[in-house]
Amino acid sequence: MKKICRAGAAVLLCAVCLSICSCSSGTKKKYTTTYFDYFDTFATITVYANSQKDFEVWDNIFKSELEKYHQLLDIYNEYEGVVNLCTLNKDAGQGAVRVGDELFDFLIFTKEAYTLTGGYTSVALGSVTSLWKQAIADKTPPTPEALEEAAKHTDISSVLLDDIVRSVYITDKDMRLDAGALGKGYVAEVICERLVNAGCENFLLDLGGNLSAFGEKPDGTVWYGGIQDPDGDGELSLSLNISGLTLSTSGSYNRNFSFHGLIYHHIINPQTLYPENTYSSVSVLCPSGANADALSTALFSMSFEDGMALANTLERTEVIWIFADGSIKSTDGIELDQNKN
Amino acid sequence: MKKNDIILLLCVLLLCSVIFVVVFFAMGNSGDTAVVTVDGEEYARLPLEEDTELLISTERGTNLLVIEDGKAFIKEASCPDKVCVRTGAATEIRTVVCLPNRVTVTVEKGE
Repeated sequence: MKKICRAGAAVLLCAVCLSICSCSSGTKKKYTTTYFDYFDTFATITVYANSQKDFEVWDNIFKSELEKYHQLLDIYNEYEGVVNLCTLNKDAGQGAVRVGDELFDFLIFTKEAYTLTGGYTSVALGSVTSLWKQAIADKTPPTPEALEEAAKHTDISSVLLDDIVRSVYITDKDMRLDAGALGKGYVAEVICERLVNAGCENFLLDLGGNLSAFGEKPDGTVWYGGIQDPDGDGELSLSLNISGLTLSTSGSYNRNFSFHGLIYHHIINPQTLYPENTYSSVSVLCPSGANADALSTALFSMSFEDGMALANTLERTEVIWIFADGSIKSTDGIELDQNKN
Repeated sequence: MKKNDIILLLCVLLLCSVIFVVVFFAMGNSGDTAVVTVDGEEYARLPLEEDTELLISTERGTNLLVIEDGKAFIKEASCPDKVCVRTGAATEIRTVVCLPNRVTVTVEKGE
């Protein structure tokens, strides 16, 4: 009897110890930082890490890559010792310019994105988009004549890439490169790779609404990404599992103005040279952050039928279209009703 | 001897329940917290248990943070795009961001 009691006591003690241990074993803590100085938007990293020190390593990678690509893709400012898009635009029509590997690889991607999107996402649209950026600042649309003139200098075949000497030659002196339509997604993908290589096992990046997630949270649940309700009542239209994926949303509710009753925003259709108002947002969910961003920009300007046809040619690529009237359509992989919050 | 064993058992049981109660209440008391930052610096920490409002006022503008039914969200903002208002409630993984005013709201789980 004595032995049984002792055994019982031992078991209970073990149980007590275990219960204490289990309370303190979830040692991974959430860390998050938001930066406001890059790409004219915000950039948030959220990580579950064992220590502040671990997080700082990853946060430093995040910040330094943001800063590097912010400089490389900047079209307004030049930086000492950096050949960036601003340099290339200034030197347009004046011969080949040697660029660093990072910028060259980005430009290779922009050509691929142009092909992927049938020309709807173009890095060579800068002469047109700069008119619209000014228009948003002035709250007055550009004249059709100015747009027509600018559109003469948007032929992407004028951007010559020499991958042996890694140089760029823009043959049209009035062409302007602009990474706004696809830069953020590309940078998100680069940062994801760097974080994974640095041993970061779970993270969520939010680059101005482009969500990229990797791994699982410590409790084993996946990362969810949401799509904003266009009505703006604060409820999310959809919540999707985005672990290992990027969810990129192009929406007309950012950076817009109304003029004589018409809404103008920053996503310009290269075919019409005007922003389209078919949708309030188009979201793309796929494994490549770069493709997600390029596709969401392109699909925003395409008809639903054309967009659906394009999406169906791509593997592991889902699209959610939220129309201006609030109705929602999606590719087959998204179950709208079940995901509705 | 047998009596002492029973006393020991009872003591252990009592210890168990005391620890359980302490842990239970400790966890209950340190509930989730809304953390507000402005331009990267922590601005305020508010428990989600208490319904409250906080006007985040900076040189860039204002955001009205509301805590209601355990949820933290931006109800009104001086910024032109109102993205922060549209985003809805902050969660542990969803940071609400107001880009023009450089304000973020996120939720930290209680420990």
